[in-house]
Amino acid sequence: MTQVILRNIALAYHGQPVLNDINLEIAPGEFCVFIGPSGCGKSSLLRLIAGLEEVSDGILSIDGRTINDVPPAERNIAMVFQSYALYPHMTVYDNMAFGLTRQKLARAEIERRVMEAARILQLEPLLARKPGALSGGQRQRVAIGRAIVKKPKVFLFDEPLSNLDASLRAQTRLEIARLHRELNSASMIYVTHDQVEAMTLADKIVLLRPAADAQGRSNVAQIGTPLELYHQPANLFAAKFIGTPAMNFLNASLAALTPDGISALLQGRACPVAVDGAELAADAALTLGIRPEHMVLGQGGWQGKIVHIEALGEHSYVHLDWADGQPTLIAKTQDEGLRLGETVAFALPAAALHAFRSDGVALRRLQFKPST
Amino acid sequence: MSRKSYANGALYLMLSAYSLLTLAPFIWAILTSLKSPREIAEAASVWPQAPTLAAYETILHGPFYQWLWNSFMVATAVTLLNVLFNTMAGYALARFQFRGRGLLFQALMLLIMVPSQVTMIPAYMIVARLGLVDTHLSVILTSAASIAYIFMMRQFFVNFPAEIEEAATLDGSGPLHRFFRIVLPMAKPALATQAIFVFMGIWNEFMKPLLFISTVDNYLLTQGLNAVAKQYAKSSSWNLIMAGSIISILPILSMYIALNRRFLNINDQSSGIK
Repeated sequence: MTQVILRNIALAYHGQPVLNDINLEIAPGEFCVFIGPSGCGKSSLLRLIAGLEEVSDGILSIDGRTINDVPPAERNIAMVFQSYALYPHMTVYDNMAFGLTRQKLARAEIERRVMEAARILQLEPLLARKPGALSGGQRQRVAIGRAIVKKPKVFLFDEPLSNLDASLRAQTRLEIARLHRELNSASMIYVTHDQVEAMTLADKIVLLRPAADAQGRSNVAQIGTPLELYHQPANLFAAKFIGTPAMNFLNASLAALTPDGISALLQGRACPVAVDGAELAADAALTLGIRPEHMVLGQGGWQGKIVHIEALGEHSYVHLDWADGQPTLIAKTQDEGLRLGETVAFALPAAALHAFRSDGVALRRLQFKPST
Repeated sequence: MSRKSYANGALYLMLSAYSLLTLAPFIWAILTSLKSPREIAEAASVWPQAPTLAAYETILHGPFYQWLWNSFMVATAVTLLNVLFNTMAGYALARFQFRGRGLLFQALMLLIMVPSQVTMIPAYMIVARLGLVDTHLSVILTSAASIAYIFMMRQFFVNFPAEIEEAATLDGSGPLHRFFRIVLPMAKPALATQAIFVFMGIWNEFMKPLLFISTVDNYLLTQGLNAVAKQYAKSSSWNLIMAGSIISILPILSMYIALNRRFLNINDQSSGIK
């Protein structure tokens, strides 16, 4: 049975649309990540599921029950806030027990659940302390513990790692992944702007775009597995957002349809692209895309001048100025011998290229086989 | 010595001078209360030649205890009511969405500008109609809320982390439960600050009791001290007046010392959030 269903969900503040036409299904035990740029409404969508915002339109249901008008405490959810939102005047134990006390559970049951969560999260020695005496990572674990003890059907995480330093973030990310495996019947909805978190944690990614960019359409730019979003972006927005550094884009037009896809006209030359162009009109304007890691340097018929090198040790990113009117290209390379101002040859492999119509919609890639 | 040491030295010199300047009247009052009337009249020395507690013994006889008790009761009641009403009003203005909220807040801000002297006579007429003249209730009811502290609490709650209240909502806490179990305990520094100022204000209030209360036994301390001053001023019994003043500030001083730690930590509410 599907755990969380959103049907045509809309949210508006004072008549200004924030979310529009959101349709989503999250299965039991599924780890779903909402990702998108600032202001795209991902936190608002999470708060809407939590009941902290009122649905303007549409139907929201959990476990087959419509919960549009159900108070937050009765939705069988638990939320971990970005700022932890612990009660500073209560001990760690009381913080975790507070919600259970409100549910009027027996004292023994409350103690059992709190101690169990404290054991899982290694909080046992800290139970008598107040939040002010804890480190950031410990506070975050208490916030997660407060959610676990409620045994909810759905966990909501609102950028829970954004206040932690890099090493603690990586460690807590692993803990959340472990927790997800241990509590495998509960669904998790996780908001982040960090692609690494999204790619490493998610079973399903929901990429959202701001209402202004959606232009009346759904805020959902794409829903899919992490690798689907990476290899098969559904539109230019998804292609631009997923991947660091971002995908390179090139202005081109359709030259001809070929047995292996299309031949695009790029800077007056034919460039084969392995995409399905059957529905394209003749001479249709196209945007070609290629990820920096898929560019091949030192071979091929194209040439560019190196204008900037970002040497990261493990690999380098080379910025290439290659044609007037075309954006600078970024290529990933292991070659440490390249120098600024040098002209290098590069290839644009047909199988690695993406192509987008003038309305931003991606053409189906022919030689890409999703690994899902 | 480094430049920093010189700067620190100068700073401490300035602060010490300022402290002495502030403490001087207080010290003078203590020293005067320990002198005899003759010594005060002669004004031979700042220091008492033969220190005596006679003034304190005299002042603590008669109705002084009654006035002290009256003031304590009235100040405590006014402080409790103010803390309750001002805090709830400030919370409502900061958190609840209701029609006319902005207008109500602006109207309150305008009312702050109305001097208390203007409202005194209308207040007296209302008190008279309620039959409360010459009772402590008259002072308590007309001082039970303060717009200035409603404003202070509103500003405090505007900056209060909403996520903590939302977490409580998700934990099943209703508005009242949330207010008393989560918000108020976290607002202790602001409540303490408010309590100190309200208590001090009503403890030192003179005009209102003078207007509303006429029976000597019902006097508040300020009225009583004024009566003592009138009685003894011509005979240079400043030692009695100063002894009375010193005793009158002791409750405020002890309250300040008790709440000092919270008073200083008014902005420290962040340990539950990052």
